[in-house]
Amino acid sequence: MYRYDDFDERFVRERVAQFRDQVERRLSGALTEDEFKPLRLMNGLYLQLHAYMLRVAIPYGTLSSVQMRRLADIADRYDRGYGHFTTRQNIQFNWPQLKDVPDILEDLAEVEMHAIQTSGNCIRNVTSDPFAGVAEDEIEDPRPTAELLRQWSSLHPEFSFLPRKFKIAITGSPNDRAATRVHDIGLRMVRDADGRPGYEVVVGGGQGRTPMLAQVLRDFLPKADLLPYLEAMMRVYNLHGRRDNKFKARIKILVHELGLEEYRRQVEAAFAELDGPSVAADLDEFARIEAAFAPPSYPARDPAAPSFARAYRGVPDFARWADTNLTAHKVAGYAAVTVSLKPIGGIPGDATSDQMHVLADAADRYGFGELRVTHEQNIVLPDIAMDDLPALWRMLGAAGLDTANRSLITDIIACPGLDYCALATARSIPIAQGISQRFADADRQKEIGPLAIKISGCINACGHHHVGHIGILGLEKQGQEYYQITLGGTPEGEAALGSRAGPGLAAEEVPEAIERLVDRYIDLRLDGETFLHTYRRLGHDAFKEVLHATG
Amino acid sequence: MAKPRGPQILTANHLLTGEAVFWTGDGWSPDYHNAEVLHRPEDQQDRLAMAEAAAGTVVGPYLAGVAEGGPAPAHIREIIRTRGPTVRRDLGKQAAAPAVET
Repeated sequence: MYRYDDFDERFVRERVAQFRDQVERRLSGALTEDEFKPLRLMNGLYLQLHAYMLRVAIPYGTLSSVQMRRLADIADRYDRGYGHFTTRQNIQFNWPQLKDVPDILEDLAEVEMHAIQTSGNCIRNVTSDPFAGVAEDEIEDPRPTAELLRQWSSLHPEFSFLPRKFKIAITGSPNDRAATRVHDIGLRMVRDADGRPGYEVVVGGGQGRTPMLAQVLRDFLPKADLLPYLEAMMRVYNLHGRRDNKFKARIKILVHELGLEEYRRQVEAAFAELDGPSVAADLDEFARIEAAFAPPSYPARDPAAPSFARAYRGVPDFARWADTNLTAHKVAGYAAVTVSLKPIGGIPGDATSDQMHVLADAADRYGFGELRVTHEQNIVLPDIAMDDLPALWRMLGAAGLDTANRSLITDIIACPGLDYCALATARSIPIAQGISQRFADADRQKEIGPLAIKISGCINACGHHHVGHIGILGLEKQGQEYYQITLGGTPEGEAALGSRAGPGLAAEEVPEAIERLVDRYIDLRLDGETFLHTYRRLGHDAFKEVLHATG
Repeated sequence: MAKPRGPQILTANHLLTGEAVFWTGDGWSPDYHNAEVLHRPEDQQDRLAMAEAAAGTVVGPYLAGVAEGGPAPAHIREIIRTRGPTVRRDLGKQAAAPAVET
């Protein structure tokens, strides 16, 4: 993992001191709320329905056991004993008091964490593949690039007041687990015909009220050109992005209005004008970053994994969990484990401080002290020896962390919605809970197979509903919540935005409507087809027609 | 926010805690039962202007419509603010109050 150098350390500490002073001035009345609000937002502090909310950055979703323990301690000391892991691989605390926030930031700084740029019109936390560095299908580890981008974008003087927020995602695998097509900029690590490493650059994706899939701007960008090229992309956006209309301010609108060709022409012109070498990453610095992500020295383990095999044969619940929650690892005898934060009927993405401690202890005992947060609101332990899996599973089970549902119908993404969020128009979590309870039966979930339900409580789409196989958008009319269903979205492979399926439903109608969709799929699927396959083969109407069926 | 219509209460969030608070006529209370129901549009706008000018202890004051008779708020968003998350009955104002149905 990357460790702060002196510069990082000083920068974060100075920011804590600044914010402590700003809070004091707000509390003394020296600063008005209008003056203070942009300052608190720059430090990740929002005001929600019931309390302040602090969003802490987890760079590219990677954290150490020490950091996870510190998050647990913050939850206990300053909050209500839990945290909420988000679709941007961050964590949110829902109940901090303003006077405590400088102390929280101080505690975070001690473990090399902060909340900077988790809000505001700047480049936000760069997100990535939660299996980075261990995935069998990986071309190259994306984390060094993600860390380089973190350093480049932190307090970048030119890009701290953009027309709107800006999100970058990077994947190192051809199988996109970072949803790059729905980000402002997506980077995919590729190699050219000579085997040289570089990036495919896509631009103009995003969700929200105007969902769009990113388009390819450059098929191949040599690695050394990354920062100058991104500077050029950002510069064109910063210059021409709409500042007069918040709803048209994202780069996707600029690319759409200019047209991809014209945007590309302007970017290439800006790129040619830049003094590339002065902007490009220093090779020594990049080598230092890369060294920080060198793989651990994996002790050789028996690839036959006899302990794992014995438990797999003898303990059906373990076998079920292993079937769903493991990902192939590039080192023989190891696996990456997804720890589901979606217990049946639970709140997606929430973890208690006790659970965070268990996750940290599990990482130390079995996984080189490292954890990842996924954009699907789960946790990954990336480096677990296969023969340690039975013991890990028991440890997780004792803390309620052994739900065997990764990518199944109960592995639901849901934003906090109107239970917490000041922007929400409807509740998300109770909808997720209702669906989860309806499909609680593990055998049925397995029979249904991979099915991604994603729920947002407003048009801003933090719950990624546009790219759910089944998306659910919560809206409100005359004080009543209702829910629009979209079908056929996915952030992976041939990414697609879901299509709206008829008028909205009342909250209590949603689980039954989902059941009708699932029944239709089961009836019509061919051998080996997932929900998405069947949907694509038969088309939207075949499913839409059952959504509102009665009787 | 749409122009207020009908009886309103004045609400905001507390500067220190962020908790939802309600204007009682001579101060801010965390309990909406104590809220002053403002019937006349000019009173509503006066109180709002006063709160905005003297926002030393609260943040983001605004008017919220009430159910008939008041002072209980009418809108689902405001009802949730008077109680807490509907999915965590142990948190928010409702944690200290008798159980209520949403």
